[in-house]
Amino acid sequence: MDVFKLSALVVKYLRGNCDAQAQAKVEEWKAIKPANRNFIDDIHDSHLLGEKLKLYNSFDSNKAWGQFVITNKLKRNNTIYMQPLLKVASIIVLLISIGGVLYFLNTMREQPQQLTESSIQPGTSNAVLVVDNQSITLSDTVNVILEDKSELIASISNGQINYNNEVSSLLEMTVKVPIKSEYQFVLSDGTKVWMNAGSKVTFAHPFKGNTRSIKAEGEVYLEVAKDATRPFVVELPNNNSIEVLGTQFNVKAYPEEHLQKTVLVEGSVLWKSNNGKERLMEPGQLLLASNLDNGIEVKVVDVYPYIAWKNGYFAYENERLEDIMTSLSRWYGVTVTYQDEVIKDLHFSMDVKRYEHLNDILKMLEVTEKIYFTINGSEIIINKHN
Amino acid sequence: MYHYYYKSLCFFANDYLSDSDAAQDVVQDVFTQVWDNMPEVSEPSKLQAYLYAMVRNRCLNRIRTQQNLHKYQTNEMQEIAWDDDESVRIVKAEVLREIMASIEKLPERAQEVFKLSYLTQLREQEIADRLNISVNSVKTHKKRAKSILKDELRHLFSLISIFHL
Repeated sequence: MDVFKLSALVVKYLRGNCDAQAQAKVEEWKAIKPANRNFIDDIHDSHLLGEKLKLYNSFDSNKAWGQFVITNKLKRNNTIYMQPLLKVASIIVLLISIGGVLYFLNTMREQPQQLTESSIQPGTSNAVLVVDNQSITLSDTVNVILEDKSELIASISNGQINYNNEVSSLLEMTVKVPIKSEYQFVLSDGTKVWMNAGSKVTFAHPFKGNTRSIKAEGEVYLEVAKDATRPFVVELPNNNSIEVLGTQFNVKAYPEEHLQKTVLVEGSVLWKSNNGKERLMEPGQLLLASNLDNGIEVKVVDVYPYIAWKNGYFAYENERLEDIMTSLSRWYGVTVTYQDEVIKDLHFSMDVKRYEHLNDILKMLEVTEKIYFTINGSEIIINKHN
Repeated sequence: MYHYYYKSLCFFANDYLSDSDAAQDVVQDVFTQVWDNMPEVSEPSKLQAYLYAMVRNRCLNRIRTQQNLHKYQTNEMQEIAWDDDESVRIVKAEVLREIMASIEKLPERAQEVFKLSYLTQLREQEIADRLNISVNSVKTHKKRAKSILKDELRHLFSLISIFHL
């Protein structure tokens, strides 16, 4: 007998819901070899079963998955996404939340043509560093020396900040990433910071005392440098915070959105709410915190869609259209109007490059025939197909 | 797919290698290869056999390398055959997943208490401290876990008084 059918049979047998014939088959298998009998006997021994389950459960699939994602899933840039046909095929239409089955009988209907005209450009790498009321644009070509009372604080070359760690005075620095922009930089302790559009990170240079503390709002991915002697703390809007011990995670906490989303990729973090609730997060977990009622919820998720942005993708798995469009609007600097409230709750999945023109992404969403777009300057109007 | 098979495949690999780190390396390796070059398999059960076969081949090759023997020449998509020892190893890994799945279906608190008690082998007082609940509610959660599992795994429970709770 096929070994997997046999396994399924043994499981049924243990659950006590297999018929006499199936039971006879398992008994027969037990009798063939001593090893088979031993196995069945062993799992009926509380202690031996406990040992086996302990070993089984010690294999941490969330942690392994986190590493797998980092090493494999994110380096696949030039494969399927280069082919426009496959790109369209990668859009999966999900959930018809409107009751009943929709038939698109009138295939002769005229398709709206609005999308072909204007083309809306994606965001670029761009940020502003604010130090001591000075604002410096951080783009790839900027080279600046930052001085305070004739002391070198930091130099900026090719848009990257190089800190003078011997600096005697303490300065507050803020990196602001406007709409239609993203930015990546390194903190003085070696922690890597990826910032999505419309985000802000504030930190002291050098870090004060024995914590490394930063304030973040918007969407930020952090790869925290290990330093057991100085914990890393991220203060979020609404007085929540995340305490970190060498790790990689993404936090999405825009002040104007009522949900804060923290996803842990690797390591461990202690998430703390403004009213004293704490959660120790494991890799692969998503923590949702509501600013409305301060409620929190932890789920196990596929981390890929949550961190895709930092590797240049928009990835959504069965996500509400309104949430997708909010991210797109920040990246493309557009506003979105819904012709009907039901549209906001349609769900879509996609995995596309962030550096495409917006029109290309909208066209893909239109292929689903659930919605169509009209563009009026920088306003996107979403209409429902009838 | 990854989460569904990961632990069973590691357990299976560990049966060959008796080294849980090496077992996890092998399994990660197999998933990486599957990711780079997804085999064309039509049914999930074929994919399952394929994954187990890849893990087995890698484990055997590791052992052979250690012993300076010739490596197995394997064509991974060829008809996969299992000997008796291998079969029981697979059954073991597959059965453990299903038992664990029953445990993971328990309500959240009951599950936490059950795992800490049966797998981590903590005392009731220690569990109560760790979860910040009373010893009495630890007892209640255990009882609940036990009665649900008794129903889920009737035969396993009928023979012995398992999970000394």
